[in-house]
Amino acid sequence: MTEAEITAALTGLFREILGEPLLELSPTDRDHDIPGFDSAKKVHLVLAVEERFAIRLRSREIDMLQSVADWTKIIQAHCKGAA
Amino acid sequence: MRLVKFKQSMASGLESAVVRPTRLRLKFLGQTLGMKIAARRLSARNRGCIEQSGLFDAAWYLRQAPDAVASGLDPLEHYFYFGWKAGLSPGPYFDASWYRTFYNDVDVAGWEPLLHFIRYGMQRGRCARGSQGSIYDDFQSLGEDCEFGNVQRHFDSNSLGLFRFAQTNVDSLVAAFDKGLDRLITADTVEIVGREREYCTRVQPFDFLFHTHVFTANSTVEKIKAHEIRRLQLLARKFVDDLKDGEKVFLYKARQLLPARMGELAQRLGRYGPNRLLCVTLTRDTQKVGTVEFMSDTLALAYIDRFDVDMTKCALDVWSAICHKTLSGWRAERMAAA
Repeated sequence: MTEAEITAALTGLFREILGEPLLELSPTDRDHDIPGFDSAKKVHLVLAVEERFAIRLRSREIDMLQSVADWTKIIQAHCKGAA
Repeated sequence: MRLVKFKQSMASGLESAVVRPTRLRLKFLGQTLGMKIAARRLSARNRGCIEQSGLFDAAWYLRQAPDAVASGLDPLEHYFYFGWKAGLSPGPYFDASWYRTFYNDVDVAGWEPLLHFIRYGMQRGRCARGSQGSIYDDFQSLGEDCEFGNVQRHFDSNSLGLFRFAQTNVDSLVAAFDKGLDRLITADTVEIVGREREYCTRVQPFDFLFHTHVFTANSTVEKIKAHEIRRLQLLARKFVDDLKDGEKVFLYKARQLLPARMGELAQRLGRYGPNRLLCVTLTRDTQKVGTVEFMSDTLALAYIDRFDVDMTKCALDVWSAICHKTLSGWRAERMAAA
């Protein structure tokens, strides 16, 4: 899976969870920069990401997810590992 | 003007490894003057504020600023008068340069960043440091209610914790550890209840109550139950991972704490790894508010003057002081042990 494909899928999940169909994400966006994103939404996003990409995130990885780029990197690492 | 020249001379004197005799005399004069200026500027109130915050770590600071030892100044005065201007931080949990850069109104106003953070930044939910994340990520709440979870949210910590938004008690926590955390969340133990327009999840037989953050008008019990089982199983899995990692400080708050029960809870946490338990309780003794007593290398007791889940009423400054002192204290102990 390419980085662009991961970003597109991730944007879709963010939009669905936040209820913002027009949300646009930039890799440099940090959690705090995304309106409405908090720890409750983060749990939902972890669940959605695990299901969508068929991966299982470890606790330390979840703790490291502070920006859109972090999400992309970790998903990409899991997808590469599975390939 | 003379004062500026003296300060500049003094700063360059402090930075230089090779000092000529004339500069040495100047440095001595500068130090004397610096001490007087520092003593005048760093009032007892400001000193008290900084010391109470737990954000100034003298031993850590002196390792970053060996010149401070040579200057003969008290480390806090050295930081307050020179250190932050030279890009130094007062301790590991406050990044002075980052704070000045990120919140540029601090520089515009000419404030020393740490004091600004304690007086104003904290109340506005500003962060003490940047890319490393919030220090509140280093804690994980065990209950007994959502207050600490809200404190974490106030300080922009999005860390996930099983009991972050839950109602618990120490007896049930100990019982849950004894029964086995892997069997905590199942279709048989989870029950969805409506409470004040929000669905909540009750976990039996421990009577833990979790917020779902879902309004009763927006979903059905069946839908929410299936989702809650998945959500809480993820959080329970992460909770066990965090226990095994032994890097978080687990925090339990209660109006009354029995030392024996605290010890039992710490012992249960210790079964998974070198976990540390911070218990926070109420005191009426103003001298004790914001202090942390380290009972052992895995158990600490801290005091606060009030509990309130409402962030406009809760003691944010005391929570901040407790968290910083706890991390500094245990960090120092682990370094000494190593």
